[in-house]
Amino acid sequence: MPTKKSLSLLVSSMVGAFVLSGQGAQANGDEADHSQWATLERYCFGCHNDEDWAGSLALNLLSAESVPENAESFEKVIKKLRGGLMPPPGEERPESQQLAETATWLEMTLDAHAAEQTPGRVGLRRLNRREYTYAIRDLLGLEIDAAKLLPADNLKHGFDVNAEALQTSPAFIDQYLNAARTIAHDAVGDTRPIPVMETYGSVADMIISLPAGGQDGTGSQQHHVPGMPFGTRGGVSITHNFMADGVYELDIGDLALAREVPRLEFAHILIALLDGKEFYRTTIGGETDHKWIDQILDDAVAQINARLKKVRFEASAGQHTVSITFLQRSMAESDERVRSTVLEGGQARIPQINALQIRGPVEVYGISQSPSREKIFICYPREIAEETNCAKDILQDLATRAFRRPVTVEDMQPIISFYESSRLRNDFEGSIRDAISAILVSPHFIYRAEDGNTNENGVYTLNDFELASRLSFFLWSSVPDEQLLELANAGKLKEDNVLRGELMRMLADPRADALIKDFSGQWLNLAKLDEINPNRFSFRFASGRLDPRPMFKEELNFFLDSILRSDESVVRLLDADYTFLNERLAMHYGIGDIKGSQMRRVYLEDPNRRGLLGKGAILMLTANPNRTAPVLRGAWILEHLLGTPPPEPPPNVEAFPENGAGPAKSVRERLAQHRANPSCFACHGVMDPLGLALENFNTVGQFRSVDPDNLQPIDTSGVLPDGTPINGASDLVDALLERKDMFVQTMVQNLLTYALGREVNYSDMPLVRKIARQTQSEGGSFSSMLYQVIISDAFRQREQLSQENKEQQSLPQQAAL
Amino acid sequence: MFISKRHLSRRHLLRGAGATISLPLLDAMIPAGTTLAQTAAASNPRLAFIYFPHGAVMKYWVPEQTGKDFAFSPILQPLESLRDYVTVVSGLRNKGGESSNPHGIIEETWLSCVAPGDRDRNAAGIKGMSVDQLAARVLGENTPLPSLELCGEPGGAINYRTPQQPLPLEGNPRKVFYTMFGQGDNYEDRIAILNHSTSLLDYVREATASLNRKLDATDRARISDYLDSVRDIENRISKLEAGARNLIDLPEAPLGPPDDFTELLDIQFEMIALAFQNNQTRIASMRMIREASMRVFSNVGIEEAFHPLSHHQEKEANFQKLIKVQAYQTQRVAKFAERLRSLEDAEGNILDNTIMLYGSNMSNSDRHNNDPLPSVLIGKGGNIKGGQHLHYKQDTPHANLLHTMLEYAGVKVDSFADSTGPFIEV
Repeated sequence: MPTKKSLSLLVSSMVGAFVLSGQGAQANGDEADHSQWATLERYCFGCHNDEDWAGSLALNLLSAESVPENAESFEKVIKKLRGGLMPPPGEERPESQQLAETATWLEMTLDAHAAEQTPGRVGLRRLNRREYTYAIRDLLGLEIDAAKLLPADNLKHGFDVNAEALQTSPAFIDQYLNAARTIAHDAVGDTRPIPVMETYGSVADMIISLPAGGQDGTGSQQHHVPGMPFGTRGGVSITHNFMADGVYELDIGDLALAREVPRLEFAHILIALLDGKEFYRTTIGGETDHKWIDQILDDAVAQINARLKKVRFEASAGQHTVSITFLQRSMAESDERVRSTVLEGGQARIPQINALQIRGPVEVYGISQSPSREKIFICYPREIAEETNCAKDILQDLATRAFRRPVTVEDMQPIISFYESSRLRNDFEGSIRDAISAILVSPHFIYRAEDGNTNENGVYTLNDFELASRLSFFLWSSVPDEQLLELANAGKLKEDNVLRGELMRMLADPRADALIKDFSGQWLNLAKLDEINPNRFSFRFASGRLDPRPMFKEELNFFLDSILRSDESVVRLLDADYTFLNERLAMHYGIGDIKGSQMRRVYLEDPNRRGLLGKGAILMLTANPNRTAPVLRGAWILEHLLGTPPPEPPPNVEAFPENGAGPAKSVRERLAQHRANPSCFACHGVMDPLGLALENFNTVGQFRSVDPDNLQPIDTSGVLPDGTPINGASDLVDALLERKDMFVQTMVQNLLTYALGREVNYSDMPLVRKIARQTQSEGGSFSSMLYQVIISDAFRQREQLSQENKEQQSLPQQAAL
Repeated sequence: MFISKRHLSRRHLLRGAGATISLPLLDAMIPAGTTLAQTAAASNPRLAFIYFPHGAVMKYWVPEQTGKDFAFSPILQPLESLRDYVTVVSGLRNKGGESSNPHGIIEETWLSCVAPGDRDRNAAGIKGMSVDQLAARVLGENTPLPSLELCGEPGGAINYRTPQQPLPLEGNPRKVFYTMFGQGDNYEDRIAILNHSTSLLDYVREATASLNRKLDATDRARISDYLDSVRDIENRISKLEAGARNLIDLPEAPLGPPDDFTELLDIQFEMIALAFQNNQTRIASMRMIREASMRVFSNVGIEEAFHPLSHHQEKEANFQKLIKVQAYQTQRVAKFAERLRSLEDAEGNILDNTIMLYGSNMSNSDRHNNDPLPSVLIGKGGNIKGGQHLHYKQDTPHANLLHTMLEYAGVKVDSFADSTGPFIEV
C-alpha cells in the first residue's frame, strides 16, 4: 500500500489542470484508505460479495491494503465509478463528490505502485493494408487502391494495428505476390506496353443511358463537383495509371437513347480534361439532336453517342486525373425556370456520366519521367557497362527505404541476383521492375522486426532505426523519410528534444493526415457509418445519390484536423463552436448563407451543434437507418468518449419495440416501456439520458423539434446518474465538459493502443493517467499528448516474454463486440 | 482410366498432441494406377458451407412433417425444385457457440463447435479447427486450392485453418478468380506469372531466414506460420502450372464486386461453381451476410436494417418481414444449387457429388440462442439419400451433422468436437 511519501510525491508531480476533487484523500494515508474503503463497503458490498458474486467480483474478500495486487479488478471498479455506471441507477449511491474521491483514491493507490511497470510486449508486426498503401506512396510515388489488391485485415477492438490480429494466411501471401507484381509494373511503367482497356464505373453503364439516377431529387449533377474547373456542373473524375507516354483513347458512356430524350432537350457542352486541362469538347442534345432522334431513332442515337467514343488524347507515363464534366448551362431556357425547392430538382433534364473507359496506349512515344520513376531511377545507365552498378545503386536505395535501416550485403545479395537473372531475359528496366517486386514481398519490408536481444530484465531499448519506424508508422502509418533515417544514423533520435522537434515536423507534414483520419476514425468507430444506409423513404433527400455520408466524413476530418493540428486542447473536440460546411451540407443542416462546393469554416450559432456530437457523421453512425437509437448513442458516448463501455446486453433480452398497429409512439415512449424492467434499468438508466438528449437530431443529423412518428414536440430531458438534470444536446455537451478528464484519458488510452499496436490493459492504466494529466497540465494539445506517448518506455522499449508469460500471451482473447 | 497421383507427404498428415484423427482412406494414398472404380473413394465429393446470420424464424423454417413427404416451409420454399437433393436436419444444438457476447463468437464457432476459450493454443492442435479445414487437409491435397473462403460482406471469419489462425473471407470476385486460376489472360501469361511467383517465393524464403536470426523465439513462431503459408502457395503454384494448359475456356475475370448485392452473391456462388467444375478446390465456404449486418433489403421490400429487424420480439408482423429476407437468402442458394446440378461431372452432375450445408449458428435472433439450429444439407455427395426431413431430439449436437459431412466426404475422424457420431439416417 502507498506510503505517505509516495503519495505526496505523486500529488506534487500533478501540476496544473488536473483537479483532485478528493482533497481530503491524501491528508493521511491510512485514514484515507480506511474511509474510502468504508465507502466501497457501504455502497458496493451489498452485491459484490462472496455470496452474490455480482459481476464475478467479491469486494468483501479484499481490503484497502490489497488494492495494488488486485489492480485488474480495481481498474474495472474505477471505470464503473467514473462512468457513473455503479452503483446502478435506482440503488442508494453516495454524493458525486464522495464517489469521485473514492475513484481518485483508487487511482492514486494504483499509480503509486506502478513504478515497476514494464513496457509491455509488442510482437512481430506486419504492415497492415493501410500502412502498405501509404508505404507504396512514399517509396514509389504511386497511389494504389489497396482494396482491389490486398486482403482486408482483422480488427481488434476496432483497431487495425494489433500485432496479434495481423495474421498471415495463404490467401494473404498470394495477394501480396500479385500486388507486388502489379505495383512494380505500374511504378516502372512499360516501354512496350500491351494496350489495355480499363473501365471506370459499371460496364453496363457504357451502353445504357438512363440508369436509376434519372429520378428527380436523386441526382448529383446539378452542382459543381469539387476539383472540377469552376463554371462546370456535375461530372466524374478518375485517376488513371498511364503505362507510357503515348496516345490513348477515351470512351464515355452513352448519353443518347432512342425514344428517351428528356435529358437531351437542351444543349449541353461536355468537356474532357487531363489533369485539369481540356482536351476535348463536344455538344450533346439541343434542338437538332432532339429532332434527329425523334425522326430517325437508332442511327441518330448511334451518331450522337459516337461523339463520346474513341476520343484520342496524349498522356505521359504515370498517374493522371481524367475528368469529364459539363459546362454550366443557363436554366432560363428550360421548363424549370425557378429552381425547384427539391434539392437537385430538375435532375431529369440533365445528362449524367456514369461510366468511362480508357484504352491504350494506341501509340507509344517512350517513357518520360513520372513521379514513380523519379523516385526509382536515381541513376540511369548510358551504356550497358554502367548497368550493373546503376542497378545496385537503385536497389540499395530502395531497399534501405523499404527496410527502414541500412542494408547489409546479406540483404542485397539475393535482390541483386534477382535482378541479374531477370536481366538474362529482360531489358534493364524490366529487370529493375522484377527486383522491385522482390523488395515489396520481402519479409524485411512486410514485417516490422525489432531485435530480439534484451538486457537482463527482459527489456530491450529500441535502437534508433527501430524507433524511427515506430515514429513514422505511428504518425504517418508509413515508412520513415530520409531525415528520420539520417537522424537515426547519426544516433540522435533518442534525444528528447530531437524527438520533440521531429514530432512537430511530422505532425505538420501532410503524411500525418493518416494519424488524424485513421486514428480518429478507429477510435470513434467511423467504419460503422458505412453500414448505415439511410432509409430511402424516411430520408428521400438524404439517401441514394444524395447520401450525405461523404460530406459528413469530409466535415469531420476538417474538424478533427483543425483541433488536432493546433495548440488547442483536445477537449475542444467536445464543444468547439464551429464546423466545416459547403452549400449542400449547410442546406442539409438548415444553416443558410453558405454558397459553393468548397468546405469552409463556419461559426455555429446553435449551441446544440457544438463539438463531435453535433456532427452528422457521429449522429448517423449511432443511429439505425430508419430511426434514431438513443441507446446506441448513449452507449457510444460511454464507450468512445468516456471510456466506460456498458456491458453487452444479456441473452434473452427483450428488444426495442418498433411502431406497429395502434397509435404511433415516440422513440422515447417506446424506450421507457423497455426500461421499466429493473434489470434493464441498471444500464439503460445510464445510457438512455445521454442518447435522449440528442433526440433533436434525426438519423441523418438534421435538427428537428417534432417527433416524426407521433407529431408531438420532442422531449430531450433526462437525469444523469449523479443527479444532474440535462435537457438537450447543449446540456449534454456541458455535462461532458465536466467529465473532461475522463474524455482525455479515453483518448489517451485509444491513442496508446494505436501507437503500440497492442492491447492497452489494466496494467497500462497508470501510464494512461500519467499521460492524460501531463497533457492537460501542458494545455491539452494533441501534440503534447503525442509527445508524452513517444517518450514513454512503452513506446521506446520492448519486453521479451518469459516462458510463463508466453503461455499467457498465446491465450486466445475473446473478441469483444 | 488411369489417374496420376502424388505421394502424400508427412507434412499433411494430421498431427499434434492428442490428435484424435485416425488415418482416413486418403485419396492421395491410393496407389497410382488403381482405377477409381476399384476403390471405395469412387466419388469426388465437394463440400460447401453456406452461412447466413441472425438465425431463422424457426416456425417458418422447420417443415411441419418429418420423413420423405414433408411440405417445404416458407423460408425453404425456393429449394422445392431440388427436393431430391434436400435433407432438412432439425433439432440440433451447438453448445460451443453459446455465449453472452452473441454476435462476437457466433460465426466463428459454427464450423468448429468449440468455444474460443477452449481452442487448442498450439498451432498443431486440432481442437478449434473448423470442419472444412479438417477436410481440406485430406481432400485439398490434390487440388490447387485446399479450400476457398468467400463472403458477401467482408470482415470476421468462419474458417479456422489452425485453432489460432482464422482465414479471411474474400468479398471481391475478381480476387477470387485470380486466386483460383492465377493472373494472366492466356496460357503463356499464366505460366510466365507463375514462374515469376516461384522465384519471388524463393527469395522470400531466403530473406526470411536472415530475418529469423535476429528475432526472439515467440516472433520466430509467427514467422514459421508465414513460411507455412508460403509453402502452401508454392504447392498451389506447381499445381496451377500443371493444370494451366487445361484452362482454355475460362470466362473472363469479373471486374470487381458489383454494386448490386444480389449480383455480388450470385457471382461469388458462380466462382465456387467454377472452382468445383475445374477441380480447383473441393471445399468452399461462403458467408452470405455477416452477423449484426445493417444491410437493408429494399429489393424484397424491407426497409429496416437486418440486425434491428432480427430482434423481432416474437411479433408476427416482424416475422413476415424477416421471412422475406430469409427466403431471399434461400433463393440465392437454390440458384447456386441448380447451377451445380446443371454442370456435368465425371459421374452425374456436380450436385450429385456435393455435400452442402446451408445454415446459421443462431436459432432465435431475438434471443441469440443456438438451439435448435436451422440446417439443410443440399446435394447427394457420398450417396446422401436426400428428399427427407430429419428431426433429432433435444440437445443433439450440431457437431454430429458436421461429423456426418466429413464421413460422407470420405474423411474419417474418430471424433469431432462434441459429436456423438455421424447420423446414419442421412
